[in-house]
Amino acid sequence: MESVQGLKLRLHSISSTRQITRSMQMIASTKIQKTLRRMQRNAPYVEHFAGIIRDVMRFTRGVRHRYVAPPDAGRSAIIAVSGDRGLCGAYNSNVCREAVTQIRRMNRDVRCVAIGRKMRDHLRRRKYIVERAFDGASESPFYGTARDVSATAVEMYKQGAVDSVFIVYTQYESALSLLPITKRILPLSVPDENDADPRGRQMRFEPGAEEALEYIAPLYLSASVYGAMLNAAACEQSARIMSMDAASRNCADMIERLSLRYNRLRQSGITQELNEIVSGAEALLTTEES
Amino acid sequence: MEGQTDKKLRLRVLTPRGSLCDQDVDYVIFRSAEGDAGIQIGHEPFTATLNEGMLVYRANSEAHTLVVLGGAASVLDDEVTVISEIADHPNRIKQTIKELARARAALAEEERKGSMDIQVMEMGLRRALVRIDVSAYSIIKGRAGIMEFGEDAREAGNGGD
Repeated sequence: MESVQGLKLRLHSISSTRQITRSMQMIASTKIQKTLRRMQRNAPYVEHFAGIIRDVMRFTRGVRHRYVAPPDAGRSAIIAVSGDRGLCGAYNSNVCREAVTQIRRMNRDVRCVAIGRKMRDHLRRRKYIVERAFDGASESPFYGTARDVSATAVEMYKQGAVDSVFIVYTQYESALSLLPITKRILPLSVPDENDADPRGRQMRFEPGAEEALEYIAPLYLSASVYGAMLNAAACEQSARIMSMDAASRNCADMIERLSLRYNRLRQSGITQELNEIVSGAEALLTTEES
Repeated sequence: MEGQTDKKLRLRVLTPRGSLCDQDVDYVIFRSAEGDAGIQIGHEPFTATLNEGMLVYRANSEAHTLVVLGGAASVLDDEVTVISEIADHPNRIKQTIKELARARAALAEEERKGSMDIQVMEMGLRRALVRIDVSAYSIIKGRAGIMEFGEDAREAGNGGD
């Protein structure tokens, strides 16, 4: 049978755990606000950059360039974004599973660039080629890291080691909708034939269409990677909030159950002691009377 | 130029850290890869890569300046979109570069020390170019009085880090 002292210790331990989970929840709430603000500020940059790329592609139809080559069924690179730490529910395992599914679907030599320790470890354990890993940038993404990631991918693409580059990350739709998705970021999408300029105008490029694409495409890649990293960071914090909230609630439930048991045990102890005292007193009285 | 037409250009200057300008303007001048380019209403579709330099625009009868360190500009349907990894107001650019360099240094790991040095040097070069640019604009402003340029900008032009 459990002792009163043992129950007291367990209660104390669970209360401490609840304090930790509550603190983690509050920290995650603050961090997500910060990340969402950064996402909001970054959104026009990514949106208009995509618009510029669309316009450039529209006006450079027919220009042959390595960044606009039609997607080849050759080798691919995958940039996969996860978190560095756990305690965020199924967030890491979901995005890791999505990355592995994509690698298996491609069914060919895939080179990986891992952002986040969890992704790096997951891919290395499964013996996939991790070309480069970036740690410590998942919670608070920095644009410089995105640039390094895209530089690694562009280098592989330029050298012909890969024919296409994909990015796997978790898209932040809302606090409750965290969706692991895969997007192709290189080569750039070739526009439809119907997407030509309605007025038949020509675009002037400085220095030239090919040189402009050569310069703009890696910048666009950095912007895409940074956008994905911000989304992933928001998702990680959102998952952590939910996970820590559930943990805090579980702690509260356990504390309630254990408190009840503790009180019952304490009460029965008191009752037993009282019984013993009364029985002792009665025994004394009987002895005196006889 | 003023009063000739009510039509205005829409100028957007965007960086990953936020939007620096999103308003109607009379004209824009930026430094493209092949020299300074001036954009007015009715300009042909145009895309340019940008060099490090100043971007000048006129809005509400006042000239404004921004420092843009590379990037790209697109002109289409009287909308000018400038995207740049690093751009800011002249009086804040020094602080921005410092912050970026500091954050970058904090992230530097042993394995990428080699590439870091090149990037730090590149950053230093860009900073020096901007200093020259900002000081040149201060002189032009002093002579022609074409734009309001704060004390900080002059300081950025003269001072080093």
